[in-house]
Amino acid sequence: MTALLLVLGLMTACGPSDEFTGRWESADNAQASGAVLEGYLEIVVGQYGNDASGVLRVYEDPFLKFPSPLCPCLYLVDGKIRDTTVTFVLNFNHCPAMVGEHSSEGGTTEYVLSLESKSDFSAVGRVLDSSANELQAFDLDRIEYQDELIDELERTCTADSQQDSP
Amino acid sequence: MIPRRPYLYLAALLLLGTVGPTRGAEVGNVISKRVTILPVRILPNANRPLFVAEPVKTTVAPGPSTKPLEQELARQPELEVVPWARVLVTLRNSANVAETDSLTRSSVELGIGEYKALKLDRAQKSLERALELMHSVLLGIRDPGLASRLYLHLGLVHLEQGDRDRARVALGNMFFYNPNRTFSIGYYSPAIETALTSAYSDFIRLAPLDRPVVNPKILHTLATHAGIAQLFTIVIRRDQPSQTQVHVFDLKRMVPVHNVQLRADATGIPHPDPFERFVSRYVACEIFERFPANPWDLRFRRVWLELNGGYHTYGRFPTRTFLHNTSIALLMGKGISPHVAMYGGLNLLTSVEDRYKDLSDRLVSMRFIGGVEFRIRARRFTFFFAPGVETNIMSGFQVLTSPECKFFGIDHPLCDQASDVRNSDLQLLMGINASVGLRYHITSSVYLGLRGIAGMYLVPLSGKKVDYPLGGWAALGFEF
Repeated sequence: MTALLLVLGLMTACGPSDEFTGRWESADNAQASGAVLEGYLEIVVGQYGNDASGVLRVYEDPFLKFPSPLCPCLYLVDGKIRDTTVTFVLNFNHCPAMVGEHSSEGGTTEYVLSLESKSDFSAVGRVLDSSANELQAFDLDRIEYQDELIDELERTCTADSQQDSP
Repeated sequence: MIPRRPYLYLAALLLLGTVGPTRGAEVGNVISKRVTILPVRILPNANRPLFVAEPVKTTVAPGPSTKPLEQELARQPELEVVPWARVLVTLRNSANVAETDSLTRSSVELGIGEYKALKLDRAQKSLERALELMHSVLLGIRDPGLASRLYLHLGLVHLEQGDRDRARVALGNMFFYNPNRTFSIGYYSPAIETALTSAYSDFIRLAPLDRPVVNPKILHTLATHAGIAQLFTIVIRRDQPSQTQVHVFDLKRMVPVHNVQLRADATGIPHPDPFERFVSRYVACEIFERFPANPWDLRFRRVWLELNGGYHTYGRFPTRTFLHNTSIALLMGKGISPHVAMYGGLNLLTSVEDRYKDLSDRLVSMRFIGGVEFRIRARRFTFFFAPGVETNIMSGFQVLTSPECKFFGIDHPLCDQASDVRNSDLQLLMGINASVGLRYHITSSVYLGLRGIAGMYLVPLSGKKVDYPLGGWAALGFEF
């Protein structure tokens, strides 16, 4: 049995890192402001080895959490982790108002969200354009850090998150 | 011509190799007894004159050789014959013998001198001290002449002191060491002559001639120092020239085990024919110890039960990175020869979360394994090689290869089920395996073990999602 426990321990130690898994929110209830995202941010990330996916929600305020009318929810797709940074492609399908605003001729402009981990519970978020120019930066705190604690509803952009806008 | 059925020959060879050792292993070999033949004792006629004009003081002249008797005994595999000369060498090489020998001789001379000076009490002390020293190093056996001289003067001292009983015993012992001793006519007083005659008469009638010394304690010392189990003594009585006495004395039990009279040959020793018959009878009736059979030899048939735990993986796996599993197994086996056993058991596997969390749920497998174990024992270790077969019943599983499917769920529009979701139903896999390992036997019933096991699945022929099982286990086992 000792051997079994040892093996279990070793396998757990060698298992995937959960550096980004969890729910992140804007640090100090600060409002993000910039060229792309405006409001209080909540990011839910699921990390799978070096892959990741997630959801980004934008609220008007940190307390009542009214979804932002402009862009209440975005999918974070194609997440790739390198060292202490994860980069996602922002999917604007649930932000109809922003689709037009951030479209260029011939298609939608692609934005990249990167999270750079500073510690287990803090990270710096950056929004980059397709040329990797930084458009916006904000600080994030980690609120939940276990995959199991992320509710299924939190993993998706529901219709409510678009329609509840005031 | 090259045989067309090499596997048949190989199987026959294997069977011979494994069954063969079984028979010999049942019983340990006989422990041969170390025996020796003492120099032939020649007893003069009972009525021979003790007092003569020219006395014989020395010990008996060398008797006939016992070599033919030693050769006859040596033919028996149950006996290891040690020549008496070698026994004497062994005794002589014992620690402090030389110093004690010298001290003994000095004490004897001192006692004799004190007796001649009529210092009887001091002579008695010196001679008894010499006696004690002599027996402590078995000098009486190595130098009967000295022992005879010592006992003579001790007897004389006791006589002068008026202790006739002790004198008689001492003088009897003198004749035990030197039966042919004679004395000058008129040298001793009539009282001493009477005592000597009486002691000689006692000796002829009662002396225990089946042993080299009378005292059991000294016999025990002899048994310890010389490493001899039994003594053969040949006694030739001049009164009975056609017969020879053969005595066998057991030094371990301290009892005479055989006292027989055999027909003598021309030299006086037992004739070869009756002696051969006697030896056959003696060996047949004697109890011989056997080496305890190797416990391993007797244990090989035992059943063993083994609880295994450890790690398991597969050489072919449905996930992007290695699929780790915890493994527990209960194995049971039974030896059919010292080097072959049959075994079988059940193994349960549960997957551990893979690095990319590709498996949507745990993969549970149940393996039935069994086979033949070839093993070899070296001290407390058993090394084994066990080829076998296995059946693996594997639960159905789902593999997701995109993070969107894992995070949002497989029904989400961002999850492309066609390319990123792979389902597998319950699978039944059958194949072969082989394990190698070792066991460390803590006690006769409990052992710890290590085992490495690898295999491949032959059925189904295609479409296997997993293959090439590979594991490493630690075990706690019991034999009963």
